[in-house]
Amino acid sequence: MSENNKGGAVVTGAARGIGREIATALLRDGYGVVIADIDPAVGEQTVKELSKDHAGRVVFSKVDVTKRDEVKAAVAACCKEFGGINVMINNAGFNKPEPFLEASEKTWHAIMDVNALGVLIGIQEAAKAMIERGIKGKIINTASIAGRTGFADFAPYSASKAVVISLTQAGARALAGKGITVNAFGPGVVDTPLWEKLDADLLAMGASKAPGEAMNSLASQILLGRVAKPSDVVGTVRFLWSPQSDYMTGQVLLIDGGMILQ
Amino acid sequence: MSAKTGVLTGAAGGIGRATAERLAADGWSLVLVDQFDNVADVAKGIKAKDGQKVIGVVADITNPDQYGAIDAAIASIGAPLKFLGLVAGVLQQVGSIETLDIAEWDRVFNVNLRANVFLMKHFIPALRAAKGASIVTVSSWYGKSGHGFFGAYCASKAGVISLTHTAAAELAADNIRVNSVAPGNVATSMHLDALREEAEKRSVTFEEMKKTEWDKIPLGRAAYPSEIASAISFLAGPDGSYLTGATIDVNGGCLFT
Repeated sequence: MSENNKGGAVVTGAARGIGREIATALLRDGYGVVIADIDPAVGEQTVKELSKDHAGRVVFSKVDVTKRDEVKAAVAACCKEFGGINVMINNAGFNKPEPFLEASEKTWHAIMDVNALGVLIGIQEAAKAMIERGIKGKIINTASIAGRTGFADFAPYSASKAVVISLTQAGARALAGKGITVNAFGPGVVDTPLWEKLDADLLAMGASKAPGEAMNSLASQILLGRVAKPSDVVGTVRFLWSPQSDYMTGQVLLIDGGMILQ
Repeated sequence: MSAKTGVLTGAAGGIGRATAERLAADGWSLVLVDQFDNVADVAKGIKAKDGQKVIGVVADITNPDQYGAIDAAIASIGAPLKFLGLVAGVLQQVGSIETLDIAEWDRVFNVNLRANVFLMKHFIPALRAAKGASIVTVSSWYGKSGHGFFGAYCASKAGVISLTHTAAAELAADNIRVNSVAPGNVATSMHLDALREEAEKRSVTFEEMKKTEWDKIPLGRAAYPSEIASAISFLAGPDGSYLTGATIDVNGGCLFT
């Protein structure tokens, strides 16, 4: 893989899970990467581990994606360290399952703030920096199959991911004239900390009866017969940041191993 | 890289030729199929590295009796068939449903949909035997939304997307992934001819028609054939290994679905 300097990238929610895998692939492709995460302990540890192979090309920035100043600071750090921002991955997000009739305002607002508003702010701040520098950058948002089809036990999450898809389309229309593309990818069931927690929460809720049962029952609906690993997702995200997808904007690629066939 | 063979239909057309170039660069040996004689010259013009072969075969894909020549070409390459690229397609005579000759409807469906069923039926056993293969269909943004005067074309391409889903569901257990690329407007002779014909139909100039269509595209231009080829390459390659039943919209933003 190329180690040439391709420019800078910011990945939110990059301390663990899919975000970390994406950051690793960006480093391998020659980008300098800002690990933007709300969790400094795990985030710093991730930077330390990734630095073994990519010394000097990966830095941490403490970011709560609902705080504009913090997102702006991460973008500024990227421009300062790596000479600009070419790729923005708005990936931070979380889920908290609740039975539909008990989904609370508190959960709704918390999820919407991070998963939806956080993506709007991320697109805006990255795009402003790209426009200022005349960079025809690529903005990529993490949606979900839940944004295409609502799940009963995580209504706010499903709604927030539909927002991500809508923001991807609005952003694409707003920024095409500047040569900036905005696309999204939508993972299905992926073996990540988010899904481990989801599985545990569904068990605690009584929606499943044994650890792993909820995840496995979803897996049985997947044509390829297994849940995804974070690395299964990365290939598609790499396609979206590569010149191979230059004519794509406003699109959502589902990486679900054949689940909802949309 | 281990040797692998792909079959590509519509290989003498704009998208087909660009896809052949791209896949050859990716390391594939290829059998290029087209109804037009110049497919042999197209095959000769593709840069192949040592150990790679690119062979042109003239065949009418609507007639399975002519598939023997494709099989012979695959056998002469000698590497397992791991990719089927269903690029071939035709436009229709532009016209309303009311006036459309049903023979024209049948012609469009024969090439765009029925031939792809024949090709899948014929090549699934070889793809299955390769233990890890994929099929990519080329549909269209016109298959995701209907458009006046293009009833047969739109419906045939919607059928391609549906066929892609069904094949994905049936073949996942055989480790064959099936996906589609849905181009928007691509700057090929097929697109430019269609603009010319639609301009006549709507009594406007070609330039006006082109402007009307391209103004609908956020990125402001039609695609280069190579930009469709790069999506096909992605779906055929290792980075797309968890995708099946998916449709990638490479349309410059002219349709969001």
